[in-house]
Amino acid sequence: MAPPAGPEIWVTGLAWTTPLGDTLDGVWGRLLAGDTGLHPTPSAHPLRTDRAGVVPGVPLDWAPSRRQHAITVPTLAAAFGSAGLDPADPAVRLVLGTSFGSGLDEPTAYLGAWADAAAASIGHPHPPVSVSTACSAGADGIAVAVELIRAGTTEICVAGGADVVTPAKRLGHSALGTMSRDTLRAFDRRHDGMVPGEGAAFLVLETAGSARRRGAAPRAILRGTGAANDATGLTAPDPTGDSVVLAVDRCLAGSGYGAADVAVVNAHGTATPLNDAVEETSLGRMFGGRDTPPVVFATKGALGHSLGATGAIEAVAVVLALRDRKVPPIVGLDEPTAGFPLPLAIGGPAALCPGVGLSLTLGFGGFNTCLLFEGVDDAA
Amino acid sequence: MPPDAAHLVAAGLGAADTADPAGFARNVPSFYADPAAWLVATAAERALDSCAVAVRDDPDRIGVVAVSPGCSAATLAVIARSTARGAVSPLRFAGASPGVLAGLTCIRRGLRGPSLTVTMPAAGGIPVAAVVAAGWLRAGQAEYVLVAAHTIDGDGHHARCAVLRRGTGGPAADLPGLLIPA
Repeated sequence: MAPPAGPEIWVTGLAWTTPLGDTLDGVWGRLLAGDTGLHPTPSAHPLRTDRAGVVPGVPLDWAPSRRQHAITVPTLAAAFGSAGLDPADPAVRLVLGTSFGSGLDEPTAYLGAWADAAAASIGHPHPPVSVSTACSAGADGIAVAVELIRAGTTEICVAGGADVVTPAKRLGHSALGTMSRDTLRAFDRRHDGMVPGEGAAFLVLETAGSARRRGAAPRAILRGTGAANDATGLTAPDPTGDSVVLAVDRCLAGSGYGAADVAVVNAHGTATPLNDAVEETSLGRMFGGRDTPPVVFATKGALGHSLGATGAIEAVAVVLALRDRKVPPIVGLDEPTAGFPLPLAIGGPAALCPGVGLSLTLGFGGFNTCLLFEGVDDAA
Repeated sequence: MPPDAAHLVAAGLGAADTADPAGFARNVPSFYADPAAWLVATAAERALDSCAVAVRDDPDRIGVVAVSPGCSAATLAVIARSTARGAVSPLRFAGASPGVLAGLTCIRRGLRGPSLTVTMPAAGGIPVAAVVAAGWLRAGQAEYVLVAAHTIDGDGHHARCAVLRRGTGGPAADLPGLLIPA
């Protein structure tokens, strides 16, 4: 495949709001400490588990659309602020992703309305680009931003995803059987499903030239994006792992890096047996048997599965992992499934070997997306 | 239009129009997708079938971008009503994802290129889809990209799909002109 055209793309700002808080290093510190934001959460209806990961300070009795707005807007503003940008700057474009957002509980004829409202609230002058690819939406928002920058449409994008816990989503995952009966244990022998979570994360992606002109420093360099559809079913992944491998191969192609250069993978890690099995298979095919295989970590045991936000939240986690050269433990993982082919972060933070980081998301509808980040210490 | 998008050539076109997309749905007891996704999949399959070249030889190299402001709104409304009763159909929950507008075509035709659903009105979403498609084609992530738009007006629902390839030998595809009904 051809190398990526266009400029080098830096991450010059980032922000997140999660069940463990809303400051960059505060949440990161709690993740490294092995904390969890999953707790019993009231529901009007019986569910497989009453646990959920909800954002503190955003009342559950607010309408889902109001909660989505309340989580999205401060996170967007914080992302601009962390990059030293004004939300009203006309040079910036927004790309926002979600899965259902509030649309599963409050019907709407326009699914991008939440994104428009968020842009208006921060005083941004352009209509945002809005995307929805289930649990890959946050990652795909970032990937679309990369294409807009590479095409020369803009030099700066603020991109990511947001999503909320709602009654309909909890009922849906409970009925579908993708929800755990207890709590989320990715890659553990006891894994039996996900626990819903919510949050938002946005990255400021900027050409190196623009950043240098502004005096903005890189937090990381986004070296690649890749995607592949499973073409298998709406909820079950392709068990062969073929399309996950395709997504990662496409991400690495032209990035200047190969599989041997990958030091860390943030797995999707939903803890459904189907998801964990396909990740075990595909990661083993790509990275198994190497002298220094990448360490695998996952954040959903701490933050819940935030659906359309998770790809962006996990991208932030990879950037911070590359900064600190360590990853947090996988909350809920005590005894890995037999034969897991790569080292997992168990019991405490795990150190990284030199190399780059991948963030992998697998969404309903077959949306597999991979992002490749290079830490600034690794940059030539 | 960005330079990459100016080098897109339409290798095939397809359309499907209806007052009620449910007429296009081929749901069965074990599989459900929102009717609008079936309408888009119909237009996409007609576009693939219209291609003079063997576009379908390598389904791993065919990507899909769908553009729709409402996507699966009909099924979302059904689930919202049932949520109040404390019961959500797992089948409909799975088939209500807005992403199904791109995903169903991938499932139906075994397409494993990149895929995306843009939840915007056609006028704003199609130029974004063109940039994304051009990027996938230029980087070699796909050899062909199906770009489909779902629109609703007083006559009902419309789906238009173009099969795009990279090329400079023919006229650049006027995507808004091809995908938005006159």
